[in-house]
Amino acid sequence: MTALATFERHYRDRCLAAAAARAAGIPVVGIVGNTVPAELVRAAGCFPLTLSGISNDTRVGDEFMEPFFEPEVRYIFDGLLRGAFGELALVIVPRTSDQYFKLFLYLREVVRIGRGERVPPVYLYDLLHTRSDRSRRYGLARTRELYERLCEIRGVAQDDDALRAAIVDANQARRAMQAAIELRERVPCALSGVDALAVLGAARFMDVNEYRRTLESFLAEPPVSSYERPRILIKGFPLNHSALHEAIERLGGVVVAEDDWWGSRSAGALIDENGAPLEAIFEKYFRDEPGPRVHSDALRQRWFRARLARGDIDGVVFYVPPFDDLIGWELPSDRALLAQGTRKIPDFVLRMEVGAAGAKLDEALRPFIEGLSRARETA
Amino acid sequence: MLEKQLEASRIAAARQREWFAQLRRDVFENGQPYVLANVDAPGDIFQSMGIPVVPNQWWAAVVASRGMSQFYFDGMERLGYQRNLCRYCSAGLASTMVDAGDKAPWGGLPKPALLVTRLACDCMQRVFSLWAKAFNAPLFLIESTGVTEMPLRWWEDCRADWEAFHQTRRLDHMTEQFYDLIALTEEVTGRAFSAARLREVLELANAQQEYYDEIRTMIAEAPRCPIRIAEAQGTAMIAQWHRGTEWAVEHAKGFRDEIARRVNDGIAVCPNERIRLMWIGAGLWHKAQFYQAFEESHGAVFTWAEYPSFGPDAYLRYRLEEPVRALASRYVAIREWLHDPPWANAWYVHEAKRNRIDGAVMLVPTNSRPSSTGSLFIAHELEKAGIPVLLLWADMVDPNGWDDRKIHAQMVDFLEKRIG
Ligand code: SF4
Ligand code: SF4
Repeated sequence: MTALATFERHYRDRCLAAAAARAAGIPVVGIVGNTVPAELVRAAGCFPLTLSGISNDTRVGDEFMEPFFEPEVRYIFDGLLRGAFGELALVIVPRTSDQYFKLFLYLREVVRIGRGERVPPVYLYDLLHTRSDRSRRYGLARTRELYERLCEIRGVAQDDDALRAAIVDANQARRAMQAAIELRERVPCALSGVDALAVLGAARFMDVNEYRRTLESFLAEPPVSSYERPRILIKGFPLNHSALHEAIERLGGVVVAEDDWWGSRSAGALIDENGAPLEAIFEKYFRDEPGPRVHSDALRQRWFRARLARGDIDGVVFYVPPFDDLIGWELPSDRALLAQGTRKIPDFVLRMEVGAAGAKLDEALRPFIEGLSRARETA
Repeated sequence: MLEKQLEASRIAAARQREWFAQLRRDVFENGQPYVLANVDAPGDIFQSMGIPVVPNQWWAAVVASRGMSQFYFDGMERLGYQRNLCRYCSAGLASTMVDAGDKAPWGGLPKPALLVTRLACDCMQRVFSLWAKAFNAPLFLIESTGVTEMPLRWWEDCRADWEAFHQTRRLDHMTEQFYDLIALTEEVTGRAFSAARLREVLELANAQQEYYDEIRTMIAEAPRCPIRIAEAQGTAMIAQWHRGTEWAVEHAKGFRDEIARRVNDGIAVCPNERIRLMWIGAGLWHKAQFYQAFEESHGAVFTWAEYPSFGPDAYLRYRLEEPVRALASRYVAIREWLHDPPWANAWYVHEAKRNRIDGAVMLVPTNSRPSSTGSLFIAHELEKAGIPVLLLWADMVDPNGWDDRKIHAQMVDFLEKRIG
């Protein structure tokens, strides 16, 4: 199997590697979102699995979770009620969004009322996202507690060397991810958005070292492609699937970046390898990971500004699905940014849920992408 | 608006107008510093420092009562803010961002000395950041930590035993943030904070809530409901904005006496009361008649709404030796009590039993997502306790989403088939 096919397989079949780990006697820990430090899970001798997927049947969860929850949160809730992720030694939910926090409370509640027979033990990682010194100290203390709890799973001792080794593994994988991201950023772009999502997304489901090895072999002989097409950046609700990328690329564009923890922001900065390891891990998640509760606005917008400033984006697609109540608050200032530079960047606001849009999606996007292609030809 | 049955309601309305006028003189004409705060921010601190507070939700009501909501929301849409964003908490922001010229209520809000909100939902920081930017004024955000231990009977345990009730790390964090807020307030307003004065304010607030406690007990225990619950709720809520003043205590006492008299005299809002209903969720402010519509036909009376019960259950705090910490214990979980399982469901079931409720009607707003969570758990637990529940999926501020005929039919069906 080619490296790319391996990534595609794990991106599609998200519990595959976890099942293999479980079969080898390694406890699997479910994590929600991008702000739970997987390094701590690995240092404690467990396998971290990001709970994620697409489903159109959430009937079991719907009895308790209102329909206006985000699709992924509903999927996770439903999946945990059904036991769809296999046996999990623990599920860690971060305080990173209001919806995640509700997910935690809902899981706790179904168990309390005797309806959560299959729900594993659930743990709230109370990471705060205002970047105050007070939040920092609070978060660091919670991170210590989390590591302690994780060590209980296999009865291992807390160990700075294990943490350091986990940092090194993760950093190596992140370096390789950065190189993959760099392929997309080339002009012309050398890795399609659809492929990039599989390559980067698989990191959340595979064993870290196997992932790194596969990615290194992929990078050693990257597929020779060169996409001379309108270069698109996607900003908006995080996308845990590639339907939007597929549509854009079907219509003749190429997605070179997304302001989103599944794509361009999946690797982020490396963890400091020289400091106290637990603190270094905490700092990475406190300061570097994107999330809806990061404050201030300028911090939340920093990556987007910097990415635009590189001057290679031809168009921006804002993904604002109907259930959104956050991105809409930022849209006017984000759009204003596009008009600011020497070169005005065209944008398109997509207001449908991509996963459920079907053929309507292409219809909606076509004029925008084709317009960009024409502009490119005349330029 | 329906005719008021209580003197206390008339007094509260008059006081509201007076307070309005005073605020207008102090803030709008004399340029005194004031704080613009969301309802879940600790207004008592500013009250104790003699700084006027304009609550976000109260100002939104002023905007709405001048018939300006539509104008402002249209304006926000022109500025690029889509229609389905939370309106409940952003009407005030709209009144600042959209220029209404001389149609602006009172000429619009002047620049506050400080804006404060708690980061409960994720929208809050966006709404208030935009607002602070529009005013070019400082903003204080109160972080809200996550709870992991939730002893059920918060309404009992938290009054005096709040220290043990809350997780120490959460209470510490909230208390420290309140001290930060105090320091910032002193800095921007030049007013001094005194813990002794805050304690007095909290004692007055307690006295007021104790009267509400009596009121809600009388309403629960009277053979038939002595007062329209919408009126009791409205009156208690107006007076709640004046929490911590002598006036509010006096008013609550008068309110209590009036209810006691009505119970003594056997007055019932519906002499034919047969079905006791509970209303769950924000008030249907655009449809106050709804609450009475089934009295004659079905003897169905709404006898319970969030207020006056929430006041004594959530606000009362004894052991005020460290008033800032005691106050922090009031706010550290205030939203979770009302919206999140198991706290919200436990409370509603407890209240339903205490009030001999036959059925509950729950509004599930379709537009303010985070304020509608927990609804299905509440319904589930009430049903389990033998109390049928009707869910009404509708918007609480937008009358357009409300289909009278459909909802009427749902209610009749509920009253006749589920409660019978
Ligand atoms: S979610 Fe609720 S509290 Fe938050 S802004 Fe919307 S209405 Fe207000
Ligand atoms: S939605 Fe809840 S938290 Fe927000 S203002 Fe309303 S009652 Fe308060």
